[in-house]
Amino acid sequence: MSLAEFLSGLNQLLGTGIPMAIFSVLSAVIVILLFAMPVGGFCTYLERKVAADFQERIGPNRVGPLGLLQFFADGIKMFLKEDSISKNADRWIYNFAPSLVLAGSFGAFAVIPFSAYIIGTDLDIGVFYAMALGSLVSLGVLLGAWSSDNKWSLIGGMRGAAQIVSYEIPLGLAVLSVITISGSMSMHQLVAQQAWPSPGGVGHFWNVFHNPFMFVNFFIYFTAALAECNRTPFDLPEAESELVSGFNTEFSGMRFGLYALSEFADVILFACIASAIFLGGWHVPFFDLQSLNIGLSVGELDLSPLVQSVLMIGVFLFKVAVLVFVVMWLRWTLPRLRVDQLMNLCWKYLIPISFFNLIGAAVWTWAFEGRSILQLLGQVLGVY
Amino acid sequence: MTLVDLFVAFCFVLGAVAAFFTAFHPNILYGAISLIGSLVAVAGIYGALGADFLAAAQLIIYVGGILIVILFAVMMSEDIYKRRFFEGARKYIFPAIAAGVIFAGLARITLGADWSDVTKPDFEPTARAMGWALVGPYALVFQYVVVVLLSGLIGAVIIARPAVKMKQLDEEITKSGEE
Amino acid sequence: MLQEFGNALSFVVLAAILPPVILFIGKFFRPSFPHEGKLTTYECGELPEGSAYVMFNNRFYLVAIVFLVFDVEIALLFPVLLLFREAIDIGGSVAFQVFALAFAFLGVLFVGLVYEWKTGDIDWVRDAADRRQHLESQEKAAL
Repeated sequence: MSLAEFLSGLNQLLGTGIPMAIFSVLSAVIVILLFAMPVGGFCTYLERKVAADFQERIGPNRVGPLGLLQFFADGIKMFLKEDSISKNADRWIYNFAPSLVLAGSFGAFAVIPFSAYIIGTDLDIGVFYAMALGSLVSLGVLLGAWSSDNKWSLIGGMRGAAQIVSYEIPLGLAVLSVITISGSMSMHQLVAQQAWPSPGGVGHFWNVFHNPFMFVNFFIYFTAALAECNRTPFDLPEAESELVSGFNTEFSGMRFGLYALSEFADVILFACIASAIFLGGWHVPFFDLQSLNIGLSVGELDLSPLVQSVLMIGVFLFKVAVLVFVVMWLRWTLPRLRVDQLMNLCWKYLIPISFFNLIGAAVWTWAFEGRSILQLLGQVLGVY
Repeated sequence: MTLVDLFVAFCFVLGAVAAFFTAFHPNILYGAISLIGSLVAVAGIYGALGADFLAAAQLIIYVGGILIVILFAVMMSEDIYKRRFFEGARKYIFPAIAAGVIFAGLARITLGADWSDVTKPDFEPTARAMGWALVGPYALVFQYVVVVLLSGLIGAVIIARPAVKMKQLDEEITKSGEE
Repeated sequence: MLQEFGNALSFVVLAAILPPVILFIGKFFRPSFPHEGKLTTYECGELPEGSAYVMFNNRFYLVAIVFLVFDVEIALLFPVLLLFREAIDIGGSVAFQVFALAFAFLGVLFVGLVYEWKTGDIDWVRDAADRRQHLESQEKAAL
């Protein structure tokens, strides 16, 4: 059941006649404006607190309790800042680039399965669609860098485009291996298949524990996703100590805010996709949340999907939060890679390794008919 | 005039306008960038016709790949803003002839095709069908495509090699060895 | 399915119109005092020197071309590997057929990658000794 269907069930309950188009816009507004943007903004605060923790200092603690309203204050500041564009900047492209980057990041939130019942739209080509939108981000970075009339931006942007574009290949190969063992591209299907194995059920537990090749592929996916988001250790395009601020040097105030938002939105997006396709999405070990039946109902609408959804969203967001924390942890721990090390890592290490992992995952699927290690163990132990 | 009709009409207009800018804009970089509009419009039309996989593949391959290559090529050309190509009527004659021929061919194919099931209310997902086609009847074409890709890869790599002679490199090595 | 696409499109459209809308609304709240110093390009406090459009090494272009080839490969492998599981359920020889075709596809491009590796085309930095070695392997490959 997608979010639209859920809302249309609500619609029937309330007895109004609002057409489906409004519901689709509503779901977009809810997910983007009420989830992705606030959480992205919150990540800026979280990043500063986490950085402070690692560096043994306190971090923002003035604005609001524990400094929690800091990102709000930052947002207001950026909104009110003067928008000075350099004389020779290419106006049209300068204005167009942030749209591309944000469309690429936020657009893919449409297919994230927050719970079994809540997904923006359950496209049959779920992960493929998310990857397609990710390729818009590289275009936005390149165009933004070119349009600001600044050599350092241009160098940062070129490197950024080359990096994002190179690391899309190991990313794609890791996702391909997931599709090989699952046989579906729909995000809902991919998560639904990662249930705890039970006799007669289809679940094969989380994909990361499916077979040793998938385990390695998870780390390849994670590394490639870090490079896609321009996060340290791959943050050469915005290398603070080399290129002033890389490709977003000439963007100030709210424009920079939009780029920073898109970077965190990208991190959250890749963490969401990684949790969904590798870490089992809303599934917890040993228990199937979908079998939880509360027995409440309001009129004709059964409320137990709602309660299940709340728990599932909690589990999913917990996994996403862990991954985002690891991303931030890596930022303040690892030094930056040089450009040639970065390219070597992609072309000479990650791509051959993910090729062989893909072949390995396919051979495993063929040999054991898609059963995971856990299922095989269960069969050996006679559980089923 | 349903919402889908409006969307398809918008895609047609966007594609045509963007293609017009690509062909006729004096600034070649703007031309390359307006290609984005044209390619995205084509992806939209694929989506409206129910070819879901093809629409996403169009975005990945064309917008995320080919457009990046074109933009890199344009951005790396020397003095791209100062270059002027053929001036005058000669600039338009040959491309007009070529475009006319291609248009005639495409019009013939388009008007002769069977568009009866385009207005189906519900389309089926196409990715699986494409997969079975690629390993079934079109398996040879599939393998042929990869050979063409390989030849493109190797060709590009050979063309982009710097032209150095062995003697030059030997001298460089002995010089750096002496330092 | 068109409904699903419509939903997805609304996400993309909303995200794409967000920057212009935000910036437009902000125009009424932002100050605007343009000054020569603020309008020049930032170059760490110095006056910008030379044109901003620097000449790039052609290795960026090479990376883009190689990426394009592998991108097409991945996009074409998606539908084929999608039905791998289904093919296994159907029977042995169909599964083997899918497996062989998909990995022949992958293998051919892997051979291309190995060729580039050996002839030094995917190296980012090339020092003279490496280049000499690569030139040798390039000439051997051309024979």
